[in-house]
Amino acid sequence: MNLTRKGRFIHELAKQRMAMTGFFVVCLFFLIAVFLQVLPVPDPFALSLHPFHLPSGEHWMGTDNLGRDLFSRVLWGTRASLLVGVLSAGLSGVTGIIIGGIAGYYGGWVDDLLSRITDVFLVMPIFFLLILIVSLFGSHIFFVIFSIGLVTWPRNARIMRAQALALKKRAYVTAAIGSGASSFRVLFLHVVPNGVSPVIAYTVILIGQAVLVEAGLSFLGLGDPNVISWGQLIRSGQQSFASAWWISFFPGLMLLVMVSAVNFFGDGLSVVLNPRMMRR
Amino acid sequence: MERVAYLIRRTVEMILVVLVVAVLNFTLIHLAPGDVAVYMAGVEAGPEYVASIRHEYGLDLSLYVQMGRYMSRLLHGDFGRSFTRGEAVVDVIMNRMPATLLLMGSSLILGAVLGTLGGALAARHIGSKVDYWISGLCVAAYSTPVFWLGLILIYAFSVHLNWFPSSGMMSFLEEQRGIADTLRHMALPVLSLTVYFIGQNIKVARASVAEAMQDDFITTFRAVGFKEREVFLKHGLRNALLPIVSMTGLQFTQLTAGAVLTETVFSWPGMGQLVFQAVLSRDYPVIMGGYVLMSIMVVLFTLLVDFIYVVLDPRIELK
Repeated sequence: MNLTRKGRFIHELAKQRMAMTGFFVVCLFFLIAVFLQVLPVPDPFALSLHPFHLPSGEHWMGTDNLGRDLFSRVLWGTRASLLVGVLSAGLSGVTGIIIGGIAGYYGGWVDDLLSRITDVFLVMPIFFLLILIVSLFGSHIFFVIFSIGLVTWPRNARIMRAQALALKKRAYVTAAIGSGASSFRVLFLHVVPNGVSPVIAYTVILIGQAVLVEAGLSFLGLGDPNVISWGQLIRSGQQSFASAWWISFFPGLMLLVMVSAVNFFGDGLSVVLNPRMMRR
Repeated sequence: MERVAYLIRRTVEMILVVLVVAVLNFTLIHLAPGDVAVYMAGVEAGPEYVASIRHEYGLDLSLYVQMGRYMSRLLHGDFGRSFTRGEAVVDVIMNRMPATLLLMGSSLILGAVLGTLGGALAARHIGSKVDYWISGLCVAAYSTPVFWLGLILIYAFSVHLNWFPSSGMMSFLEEQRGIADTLRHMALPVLSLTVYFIGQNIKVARASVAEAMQDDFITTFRAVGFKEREVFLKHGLRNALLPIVSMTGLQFTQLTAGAVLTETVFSWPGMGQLVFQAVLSRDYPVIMGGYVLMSIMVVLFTLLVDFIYVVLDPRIELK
């Protein structure tokens, strides 16, 4: 049964052409990020005597104000973006699952309290909050990841809560409770695994959002100064954009490609994981 | 009656949101490493001067007392004075608010209108080439970093074509100012901010129109012999409006993020830039005031959307 379900899932997903393209592009970025050290590209920190060099055969994306090879810097930026995107979206997904699951499953005052907290986070100006947190407490990349994850979970919590509400009335859940399983066990072994798919689809889309948020923070000068990131590269080329457009252009293009790919994949996933949408 | 009760409950909830934002910001700021009094006095200042500043601003009191004082002043509408400018925070922010509202409002409306039209067009020809391209482009639209798009727009339309100014809200010379002048200044920032929302709205509108067109009542209209065009415009499109309204409500919060980035790229004299500068210079009263007023703005807008929703859809479940 499990195998056929899995088979059907892969079959449906494969029919989504854009989603599959997105998936492969994301995989490509992953490979780049992992095998960066062994790729035959110049040192991203090596200075040269050719600052502001136009894109050419030698420097595919040109060079920056210090003559560093932009192509290699852009490839290095992949690592920061993916790290931030995947980890903070993952953190947001896990937090959302726990809070939403508990709220939906236990109900009563627990639900009231957790739902109100979720509502508050939903209408808060999140980006401003991030600016404040990062500029006051420091911009280390793991701190940025932690902060983004911590402010983006509410949508996931809402989705998980709705799922838990619907699933807790199912027969297999009642059976599990009847056989003496603890409520904690029922929630995390029976309810969550069966209701988690829409959360996964939304979390994939959140990866793209988190990448954009990190780029925005770095663009404002609040990124980790020790890490090459696309937002920072765009910032570094902002002053000379009129004369050396390529410094900002290529990192932004990469952002666009990566976030689009993630979104296409996420959209495809939510279509496949949501049977109601499959009929369309 | 049920509706009034619902709206009152929502209003109370929203007031709570503003209070929570205020407390959260206060706590964050006071937990942050570094001494505010030292910041204000300057690095070279002697210890007596720092102590006098600390006393003057009540920074030597306990955290609870400070928070109590701040909250009670806040409830009386007193946001304090800016550390760096010396003016009242309310005045500083109110000076900048119109520019931000102009930018955000135009983008929100333009995004909703164009997004609905685009989404409806895609849904009308669902599965066709038109649908394919619109849906693809809309994903690209909400995957584009606004600040990067802003830079490209400046490069193309300001540096090369010289059609629109690249920064500010009005011309330097008094005699050149006016509505037309401001509109020209608005063109690029509004465009770069709107693209994101057009993309999001197309997605929502396309899905909801497509769903509505499969509803039983639409089938009935068709069966009775109404023209497809009429059915689509009068009934299909109408059903797309509700999700767009609620989407717009959510977007207002995202818009505050877009605003600070767009305002930075285009040197737009709005609140986003003001608060961001305040964060960099640790001008706490402006940061706090900015956050609280911004949350009030978001909250008022959310309530407005709730209200519209209740009026538009009599079937809505008031839970």
